[in-house]
Amino acid sequence: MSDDADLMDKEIFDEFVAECRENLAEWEDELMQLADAPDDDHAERLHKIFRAAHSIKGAAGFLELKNTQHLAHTAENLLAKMRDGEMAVTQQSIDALLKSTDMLAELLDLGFDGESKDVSEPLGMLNAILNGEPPPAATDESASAAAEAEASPGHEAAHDDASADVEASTVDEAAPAVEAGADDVGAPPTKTAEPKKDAAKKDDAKKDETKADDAKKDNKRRAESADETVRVRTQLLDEMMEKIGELVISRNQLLRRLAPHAAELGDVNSTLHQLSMITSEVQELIMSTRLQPVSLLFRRFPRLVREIARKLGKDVVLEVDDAGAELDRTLIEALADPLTHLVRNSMDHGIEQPEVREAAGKSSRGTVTLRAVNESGMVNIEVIDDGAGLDPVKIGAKGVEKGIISEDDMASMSDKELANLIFAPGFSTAAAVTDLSGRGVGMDVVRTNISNLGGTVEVSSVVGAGSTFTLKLPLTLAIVTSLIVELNGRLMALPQVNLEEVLRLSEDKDLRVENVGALQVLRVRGHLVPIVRLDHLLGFAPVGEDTLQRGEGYVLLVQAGDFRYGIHVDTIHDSEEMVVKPMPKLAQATKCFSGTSILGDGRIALILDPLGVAEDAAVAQLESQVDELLDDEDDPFDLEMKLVKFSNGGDEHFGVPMSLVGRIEKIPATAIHPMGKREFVERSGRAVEVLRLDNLFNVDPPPATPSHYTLIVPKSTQRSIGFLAVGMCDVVSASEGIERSSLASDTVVGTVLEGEELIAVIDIFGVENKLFGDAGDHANERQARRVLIAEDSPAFQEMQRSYFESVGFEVDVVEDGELAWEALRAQPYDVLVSDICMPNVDGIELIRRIRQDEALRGLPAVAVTTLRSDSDRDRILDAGFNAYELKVDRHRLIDSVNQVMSRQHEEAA
Amino acid sequence: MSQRFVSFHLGGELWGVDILQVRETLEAPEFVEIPKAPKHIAGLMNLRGQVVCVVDLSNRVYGRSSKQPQNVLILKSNGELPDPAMCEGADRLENIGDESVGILVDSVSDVVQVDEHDVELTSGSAAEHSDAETRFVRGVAQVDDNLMMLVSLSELVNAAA
Repeated sequence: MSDDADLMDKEIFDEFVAECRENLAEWEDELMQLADAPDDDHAERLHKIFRAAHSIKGAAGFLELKNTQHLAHTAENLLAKMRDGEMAVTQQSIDALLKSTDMLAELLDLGFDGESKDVSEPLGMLNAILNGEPPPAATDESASAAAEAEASPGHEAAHDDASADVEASTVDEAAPAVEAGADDVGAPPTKTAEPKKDAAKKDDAKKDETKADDAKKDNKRRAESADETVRVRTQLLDEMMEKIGELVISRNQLLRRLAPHAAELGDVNSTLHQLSMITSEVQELIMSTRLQPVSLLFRRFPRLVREIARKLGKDVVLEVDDAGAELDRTLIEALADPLTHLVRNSMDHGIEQPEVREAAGKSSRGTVTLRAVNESGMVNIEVIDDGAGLDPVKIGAKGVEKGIISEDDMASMSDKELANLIFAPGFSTAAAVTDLSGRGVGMDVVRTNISNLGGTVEVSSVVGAGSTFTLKLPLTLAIVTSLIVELNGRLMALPQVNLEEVLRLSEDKDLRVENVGALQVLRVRGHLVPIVRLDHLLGFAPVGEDTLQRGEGYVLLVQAGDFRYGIHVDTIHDSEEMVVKPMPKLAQATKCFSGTSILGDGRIALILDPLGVAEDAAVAQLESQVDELLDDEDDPFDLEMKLVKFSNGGDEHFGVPMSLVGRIEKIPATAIHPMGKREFVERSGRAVEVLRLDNLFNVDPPPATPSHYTLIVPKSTQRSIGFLAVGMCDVVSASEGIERSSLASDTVVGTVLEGEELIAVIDIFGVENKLFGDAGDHANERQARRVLIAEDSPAFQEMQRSYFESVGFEVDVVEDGELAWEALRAQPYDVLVSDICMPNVDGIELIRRIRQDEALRGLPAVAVTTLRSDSDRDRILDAGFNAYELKVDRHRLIDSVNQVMSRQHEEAA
Repeated sequence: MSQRFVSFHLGGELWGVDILQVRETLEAPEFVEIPKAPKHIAGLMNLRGQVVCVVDLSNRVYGRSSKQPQNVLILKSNGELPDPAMCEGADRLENIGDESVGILVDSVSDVVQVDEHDVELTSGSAAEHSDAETRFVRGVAQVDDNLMMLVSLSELVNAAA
């Protein structure tokens, strides 16, 4: 027989071993459940465990793995007794059985080499419990003799006076063994039912036979009702997966190509429809073959937690909440290690010793919770502990000590950011690695592993209360319905599940993108939603005009996690079901995309990851800024002006009117490139010249060279410039207006007193001119620019006057068109801002005259009015105004004025 | 190591890659740009339903793209390569799992057979080569009167750009 074993097909061997492992896993699983709640489903569990042990015994027997078979058999004996109620479920028996599973696992790994392994320890433990039996030697012999008899039917066992007990149990079990154990080979019922005793026991045997028969029937029934499964090579499943993906793409292509011909197709349409439905169904079925319950991943942890708790002398219980969540098979294997590390970490560093916990007023028993939830094509797995939590201060200090961050950084980081430093490479030292926390791996390796799977991991924590590690993973090869959109000529797709609404921008006030300070927002049913500009975020080279500024295109209202924001796009195409292919490793340059897909026409679309976009665009910050600004927003009579306040790291403060700020960004100092005496930073594919406050004004340079700067980029300047500030910016209200004091100069508009601080308001255009002022045409701009406001309502007059003055204009106000006409001819102005409805000469007449006048025809003019119909608008623009703004939107007004003026410069230049 | 190479032109020079590493060659299609990706990534292409990332070899090696690259060589994924016992220190793409990668070249030329003696591999690790060009060369082969440089695949995708 052993010769045969040598020749035995490796494949069969592997299959059996694989099956044994599965049984072993079930054994351990059920045993752990039993250990936690011995009275719960007690009998059913014991039966399952028994069956597992029994199968292993059978397989081992067939494979001639005597050691394994023997151990399994002994365990099986004990389990039989426990199942039948003859022995109680005790700690000792559980330990013995656990020890046995460990040993069996080792033996399975060793294969035939395991035959020489010493299994006396678990064996001894089992037998000690089976106490009361004949001395170990005899029991062993009879047990193995009986087993041999089953495996090799022709073999006649020399059967002595082994106790009737053992024999009866052998016979009883022999029969069920044949039915229930599908892998018991070659022992036909009749032979095993035959007692190996001499004729004298024939009657007993007959009785036993009937008993065996009944048992046989019972077990057959049980075997049938157990899940019918079949083993399939995973490679085959993978191939099926790929093929179904191609099928879906082909189906999409077919539908697309035939769509225009629907009318001619007649009946064929319904066939096509059917084909499409069936394809979708097959696709779902196949995808589900890849998905396995996350509980498979979690199953090893009860035992792990139990053992570690013991080792550490801590009292910890594990709770598992997997809500039936599922995960791609390959991910389950890959997550085992990182998850183990996290759990070990929680137990090692998170959960405190019982005394410490009690002293802190917590229960002495700590809890580690494993939770899994499926959410929009992702799986979220959480490892939660109610331990000591992560102390951001300590972690920050450690980060500084290890040179990962600077002290400045630490000051500007939030608690959450500091806590997540534990994932930074180099953070965990070798010293922190005990044999408990794994094979010399740190949190950074965990993070790397998870990223390689296309996922993310982060931690959030409350000192003293506990920590939560959250892993987010994509379901690979998901098929997702998405909306195809286009921006700057690039095709992208947004998963339908994240799409709340599609809004078309128009001039209608309800659907206009408004500028609130540096943000673009959209008013949606009373809420202000921040808009993310993907073209800026991702550095798309601009194609043609800025459609968002022109109020064109669409805004996709996106919802992801806790975030809600809008994405601006140029065009909307169809919705399609697409096979999401993970982003190739080399192409993973940004977290904004979760993968790629091939569209019906063969083109590749990048699939947006709304959460990734939210993170990248710092939507959280945008949202809070929006909230902050909401309070006195858009009250047309509100004369308060908001300033963005910043400094150079010292005590002097500077400010820029919020309406003039285009962007505020944090940039690393390393991003600044000197070119001669000037410095530049690259933003969205363009070079922005950075201006240091100590170069422009009489202030000290920053006290220490910062690692990061805040870059404040103004709007509507001719050149691309930005101010470098150190530290955070604040938004303050300048309720008193700007005082044009002695500090005013060609670069400073004036000062504002905020509380105790004096803020110097920078004249952005003044700075621009000072640095780049071309001589000649623009010499006049060294002085403040002059605006004539034609407006008949006193309230609006004052409002506009104050507003324009605050941004550095010199303002004259007249109350009708006739006076305006006279004023314009009397003095030079740089721009006209005019109402339409005025007495005497109205705005339309005024502009006509201006455009017909030799001297004045080139004057930039902006109409400001309450008239809002399309025809009014057309009329106003046709008459000769360069731009048209509604009275109530003062932010847009200043923008318009600036744009109109700079366009004029371009034309004139 | 086989002695057959797929030769191609890049930056006016002759290069080659072991034929066992090449799955196919084709005309360069239009690539889909990847936002924020490094300059030496040409983009993504659709290869009969598979999305493949293509490296701009000229940019990678010489620091600037070719004016008119014509062909793409699709390299075999690590799973498709013959057994690792293929040869000692086999040159393969690192850290790329089982993905296929393409390389954008100026033009693909013939498959050349080179005698063992005419192939010389560079010694030392790539890290020793500070010069970008030599870093991507894992050896040279004599082909008629020309010297063909053998591309180092492991360096190709090495993150330390």
